[in-house]
Amino acid sequence: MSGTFFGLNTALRGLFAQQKAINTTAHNIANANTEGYTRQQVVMETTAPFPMPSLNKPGGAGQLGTGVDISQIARIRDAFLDYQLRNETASLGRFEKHWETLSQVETIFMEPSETGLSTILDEFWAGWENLSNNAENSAIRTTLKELAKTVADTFNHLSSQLDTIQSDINSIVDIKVREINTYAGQVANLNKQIASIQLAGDNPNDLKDRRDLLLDELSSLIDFSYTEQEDGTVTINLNTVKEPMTLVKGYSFTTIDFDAITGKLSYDDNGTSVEIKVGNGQLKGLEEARSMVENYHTILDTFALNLANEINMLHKDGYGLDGSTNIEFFIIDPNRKGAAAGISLNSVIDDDVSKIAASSDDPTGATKPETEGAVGNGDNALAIYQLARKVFNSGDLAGTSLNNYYKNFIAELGVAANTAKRNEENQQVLVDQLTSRREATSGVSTDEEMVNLIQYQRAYEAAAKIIGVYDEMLETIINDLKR
Amino acid sequence: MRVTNKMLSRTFLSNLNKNLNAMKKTQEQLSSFKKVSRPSDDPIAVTQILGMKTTLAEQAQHMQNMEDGIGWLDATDSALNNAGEVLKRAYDLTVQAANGTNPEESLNAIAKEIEQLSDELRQIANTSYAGRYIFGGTYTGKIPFEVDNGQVIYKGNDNPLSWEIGAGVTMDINLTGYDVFKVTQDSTTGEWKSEMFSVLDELKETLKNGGDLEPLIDKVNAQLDHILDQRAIVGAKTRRLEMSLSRAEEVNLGLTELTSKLEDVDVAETAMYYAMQRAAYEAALMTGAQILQPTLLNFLR
Repeated sequence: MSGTFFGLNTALRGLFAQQKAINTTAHNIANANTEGYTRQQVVMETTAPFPMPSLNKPGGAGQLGTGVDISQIARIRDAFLDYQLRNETASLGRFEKHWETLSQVETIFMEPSETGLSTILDEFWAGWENLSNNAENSAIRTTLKELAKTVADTFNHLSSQLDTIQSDINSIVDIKVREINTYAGQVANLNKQIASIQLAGDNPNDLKDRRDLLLDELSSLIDFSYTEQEDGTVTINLNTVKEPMTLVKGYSFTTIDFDAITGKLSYDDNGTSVEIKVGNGQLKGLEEARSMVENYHTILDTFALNLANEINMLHKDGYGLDGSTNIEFFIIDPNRKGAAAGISLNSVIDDDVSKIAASSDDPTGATKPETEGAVGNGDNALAIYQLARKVFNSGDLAGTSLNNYYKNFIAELGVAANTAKRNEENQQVLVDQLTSRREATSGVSTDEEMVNLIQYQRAYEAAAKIIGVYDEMLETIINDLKR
Repeated sequence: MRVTNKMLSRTFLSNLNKNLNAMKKTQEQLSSFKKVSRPSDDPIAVTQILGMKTTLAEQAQHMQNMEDGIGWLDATDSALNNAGEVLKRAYDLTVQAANGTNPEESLNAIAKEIEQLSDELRQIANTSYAGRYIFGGTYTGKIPFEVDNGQVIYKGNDNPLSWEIGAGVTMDINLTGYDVFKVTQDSTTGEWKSEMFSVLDELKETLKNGGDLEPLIDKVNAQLDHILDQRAIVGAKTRRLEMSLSRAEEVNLGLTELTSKLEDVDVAETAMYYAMQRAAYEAALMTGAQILQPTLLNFLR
């Protein structure tokens, strides 16, 4: 037989449970726009019924319910979606860096435009052809000199711009590595808090949200594997050339280092430096972008070197107006890194344009008296002009010409940048889709919360009503029976 | 699927962004008038454009060369025309002098005129075009026919000026004094002398000293014929250049059109695209305003 005040307690439990549910609803609504927030849901359970089955249970039919209790406040989250999303975010970070870098390279080369190297070279070659027709004309020689200086300047400029991109990449990697270390420290710290709360038997929902957000951020930087342990802590591993390294385990974390000279990431394993193998994420993208830029730099150097060498070879055979011969047209400074950085017009020619070897004969007649005065001879200039179209059979430019080598390079750059852009766009769609799916599971819907609110409020009101009814019943017993 | 308010705004934002990006691209095309502004826009088109621009630049230089060449040949032709006039006059005078009825004074006068004509011919042989002596071979910087001890000596050479008039096609643009004025090396002095001037010299001497003028008529006539032959060569060269030039102009027109097709924006088409994108963008904004506002909250008392 249940006591007189039995029902009051059941109703009170209802009041408390609905109140807690309303509080959770309030928390959800308050965090509807919080980055990384996972909606929470109260799990209601009936409390132990009365009477408990035992030998001396009171007589009467069945068990009587004793009300409700909140057994836990759960996070509604799909761990598999997190895993998928982090994988794809890593690829997105990688493609983003490809596209970012390649679009910078494209901007540097500025093709097609009136100021790109292609147009400048067209003008330069036309300068030689013009000279071949007007070999003795000093105005045309001066024009050619200026065009040649523009060509050399453009090479120098492109080279230094590519260098800038490379050093920019290094400083970005440096910053990203610091970010990874910061994240690792924060995850270790959260691990500690989460473990101690979980030990006390509670769900540290909001702390877990914060940790998941950190893992999301980390996944855009580098590829890693992670497992959640029994005690609620998360272990993060990175791939290295040897055994995987532990970035975060329990309450502790390891920092990683970046060497700007070798471009490698490493960590200190009891005194030995072990290289970290980056497989995805922004860091992988940056590593790949750096080697792409390096490759373009090499191509530019090869082009500058071959252009200078081929012109010099012919130029040395020819004669200037003053009979000078065996003079190099372009000089490549061996102290500079790469031919594109070191190319310049020979200062001898810069000082005196009559030294441009347009003629195939010595016009002063010093070597061959019969050619004295042959200033109109522009055969050598014509031969140099025709270099532009000459298809090489061997060497760096085998199978192509000076004219086409650079255009092929621009095509290569264009295709690479185009692919990077498309990859980035596609990956973005994929990530957006997964983000939507996660949002569908874990996001806060205000409509839903409103419906829940009404539901909980009504239940609260009903429980209060029950208390009122009991109050009336007690009134009947206590006051009305008195008479 | 569960749909949340954040999903709506996220999708809305990402689509709005896509619309804006498309508009940015179209606007860039419309304002620059170029379909492609960077290699990744269309790598193949960009390579083609670069190739065509190089070809166009070469073509422009070749056309310039041909126009200069035609100018050079016109100057050559008018010089040869004048030389022909001079020789024609010399021929007429020779025929008149050979008539046999001339008193000595008039023969002397004719001799004087021949001397004048010889000088005039030398002036013509030293014609310059744009500061360059056209009959000196590659010796364009100094006078090709000089007078040395009363003798006209050729100081030029017989090298051609080869100009490129098409990819890999060169043409000798000049006639050398060597060919035009029949220069040969004197076996005794080793000097280069022109037969044309020697004949005029011989004519002058014969007129002064008396002698048989009959064989000189043929000799002068032979020089006149030679000049006419040279003019025919100039005519042929000019014609070749003119034909090449008009062909090059046609090719140039075609190439320019093709480049423009690859590179330039079709304004009407792009403007249409732009209008469509704008409409899509506005529609997105409008739905955004309507979709994002209402929640259940608006309908609860």
